[in-house]
Amino acid sequence: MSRRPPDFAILFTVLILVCFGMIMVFSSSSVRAYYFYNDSFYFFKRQLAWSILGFIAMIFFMNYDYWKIKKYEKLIVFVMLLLLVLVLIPGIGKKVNEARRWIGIGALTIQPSEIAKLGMIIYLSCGLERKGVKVQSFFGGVLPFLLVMGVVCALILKEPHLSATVLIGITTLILLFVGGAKMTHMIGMGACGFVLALMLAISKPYRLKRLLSFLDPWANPSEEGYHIIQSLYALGSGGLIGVGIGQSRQKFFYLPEPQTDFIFSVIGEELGFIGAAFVIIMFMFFIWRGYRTAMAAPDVFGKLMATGITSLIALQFLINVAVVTASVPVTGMPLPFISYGGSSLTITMSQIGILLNISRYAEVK
Amino acid sequence: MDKLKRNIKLIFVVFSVLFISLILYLTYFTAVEREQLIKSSYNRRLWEQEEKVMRGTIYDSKGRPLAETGFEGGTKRRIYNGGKAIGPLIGYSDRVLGRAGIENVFNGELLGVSEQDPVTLLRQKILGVSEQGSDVYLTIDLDLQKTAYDLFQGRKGALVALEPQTGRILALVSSPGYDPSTVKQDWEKLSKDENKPLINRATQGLYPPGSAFKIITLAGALTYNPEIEYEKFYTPGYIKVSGSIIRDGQHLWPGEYDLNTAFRYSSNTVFIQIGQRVEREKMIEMAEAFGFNASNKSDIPIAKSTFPRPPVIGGDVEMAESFIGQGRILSTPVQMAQVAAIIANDGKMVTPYIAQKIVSPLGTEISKAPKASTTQVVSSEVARKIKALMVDVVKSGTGTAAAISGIEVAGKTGSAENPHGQAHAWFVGFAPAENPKIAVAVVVENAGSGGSVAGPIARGVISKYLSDITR
Repeated sequence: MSRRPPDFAILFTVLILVCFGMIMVFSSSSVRAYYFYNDSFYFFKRQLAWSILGFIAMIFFMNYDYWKIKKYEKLIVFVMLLLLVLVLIPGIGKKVNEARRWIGIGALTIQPSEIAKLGMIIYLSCGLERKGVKVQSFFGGVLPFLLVMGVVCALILKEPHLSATVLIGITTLILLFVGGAKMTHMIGMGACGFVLALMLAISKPYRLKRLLSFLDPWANPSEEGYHIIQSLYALGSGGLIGVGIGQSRQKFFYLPEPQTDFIFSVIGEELGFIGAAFVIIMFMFFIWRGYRTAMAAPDVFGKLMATGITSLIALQFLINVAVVTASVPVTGMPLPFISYGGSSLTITMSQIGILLNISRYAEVK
Repeated sequence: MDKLKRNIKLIFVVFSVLFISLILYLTYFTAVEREQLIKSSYNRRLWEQEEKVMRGTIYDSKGRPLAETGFEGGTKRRIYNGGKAIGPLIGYSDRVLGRAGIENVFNGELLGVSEQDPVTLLRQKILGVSEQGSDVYLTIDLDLQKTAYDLFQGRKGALVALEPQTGRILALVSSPGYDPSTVKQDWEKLSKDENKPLINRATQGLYPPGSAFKIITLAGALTYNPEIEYEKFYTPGYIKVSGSIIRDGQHLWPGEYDLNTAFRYSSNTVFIQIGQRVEREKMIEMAEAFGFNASNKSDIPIAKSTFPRPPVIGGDVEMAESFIGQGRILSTPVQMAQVAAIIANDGKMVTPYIAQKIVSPLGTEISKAPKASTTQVVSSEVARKIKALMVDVVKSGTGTAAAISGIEVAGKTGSAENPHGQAHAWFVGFAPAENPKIAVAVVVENAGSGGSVAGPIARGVISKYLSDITR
């Protein structure tokens, strides 16, 4: 196969979003950074470092032929499961806010659930390509994937990290669907997943209360509804053109984590409807190019990998924005490329590297 | 491979739909939900704004300030002009107590945060008036408001006066009131007071309207059975409805009467008879056309007046009670003033409003007056007939206490029975009958007979207003 230049549209969209994110991270985090670390640039500097690392990773994977990943499938699955188990062990996994999600030494920490997102996409793409039409059967086709997904999800849920669990669940279903699973199986799995999610929600009272708070945040404005109300105020204050960059009021400790989960609210407040619409349109453009690459990829593995990566980013974006606009329950979900994310930014950019590499072999008519 | 492509395409379509709905929602949010959100009193940003901004002035219809921001020893202070007469209406704005009344409803305008247009915002910045809120001009006449408040002499009740052709609220009184200038010092006492001075009875008080409601029963009867105008009705002093007995008031001996006499002396028996001759649904629709069960269309919050529909109201007895304004009908004083105004306005709909205009610091005026409605609630012919009957009520019926020499006053009294003691006294009317300038509704709680207690208050307000505008 001949190698062509990558899809520059994807490359530049991502670079613009990352740079834009850097500005917004600085704008939204400077107050907190100064208050907690005595350095307004605290988050900005780290975001800069991780994005440079991410850029290097992206360039590397852009030039690393994607089908070679297949060789490491077993290793990747093994490392993924190992990390997911290790993070649960007190002393190895770091506990932040009642959840044990981080692993690593010093400033170099990663979330195994981030690795698992990519790991699952690789595993599913390899497996589905091998299976071919056999995926149509239930026991020989779909079930093994479901079992692996079940184990991974259970481990992540144990941390607990609900949003990553949901994300991996939905991405798995998307890949199974694209990979050719029967419609009846899909519907069955979707229904099971829904029931399971419902049971999980009910099992812990705080979860249910938090989950339902988005329906009417005003019912309890100082407790469950607080975050969402502050987010709506941020968006509401923005209006058409926003209050101006750096002028957000809500970032002054009204919004929880303005530089990660609620960065979209700050964008809406400072840059208004125009700023928010710009971000949405950039992402829309990105997913169009992503799925276009997927459709034009030369082999099944490439098609599935591109679909998985694009879907994962689209889902994260949609869930994040849906949360801050009170359309779905509150859950911690960073905005891809833009949120302050440390290692997750680097991993996301590696995924873009793989997508770009696939685009170099895409046969676009 | 082709199947794979097709599946990917499908996933892309699904995501596209989600993205597009996101943009649509955001547009809707910016255009619609945003404004309510900004003005919400939970919004802490507004209190921040409050410190920076000179809160705008609230004026009455003659340009007299009712509430303005001034300086006292270097600190900003809100100065109120009008004492207890304006308290429940104008309200207050205080960081500890929160906001109430006009200060609350028009908070966004008074703080200048409702301004959306970026060009205007820029101009304000350049001209150095961005730190100033807009002024709100009300339709209220401070003199009339004070006169009306004094007429209550501290008794519990409410008065609403409207201009019938436009719906302008001329006076909106709730008694007993409180002085907004001292609301903070008096808070403890006011919040515990059994007479509940902090409540605006005119907009939030829900009372059974009693016989004043017969105006609507009459409207229904004359619309669907116009022949009753020429009929005679017999009353033995009471009527039996499915076993229950409902009595007439004390004004009528048993006998045979025409419609005019029955209305003048407010015969329950006759009005239940004529009400029962109209189809139930039609009668409920008539009450709803006058504004019952409808959501608030005014620019200030007004409690919903209700005429319960079946199955909430049970059988014939409750329906019969409804025809005479008892049973489960509840009405705000604003609603009853609206009923009077509709009759005065030849049967055309009237929507009460209180903000005439908003004037920004740059001097741009935004008119808030709604367009005059052309919706006919009852035909002008029916309205004319009701007006004639209401004139006779004041001339020689239960409402003589509201009569003013030289001016033809139209009205209807009511003494609404209620579980809290003596009847609530009502007077609903307008004047001058041939060319109405003012419509009023008065209610005095647990005061007994409507004519003798509420009538004089209405007379006082009407004569004050008419002499003011002709002077």
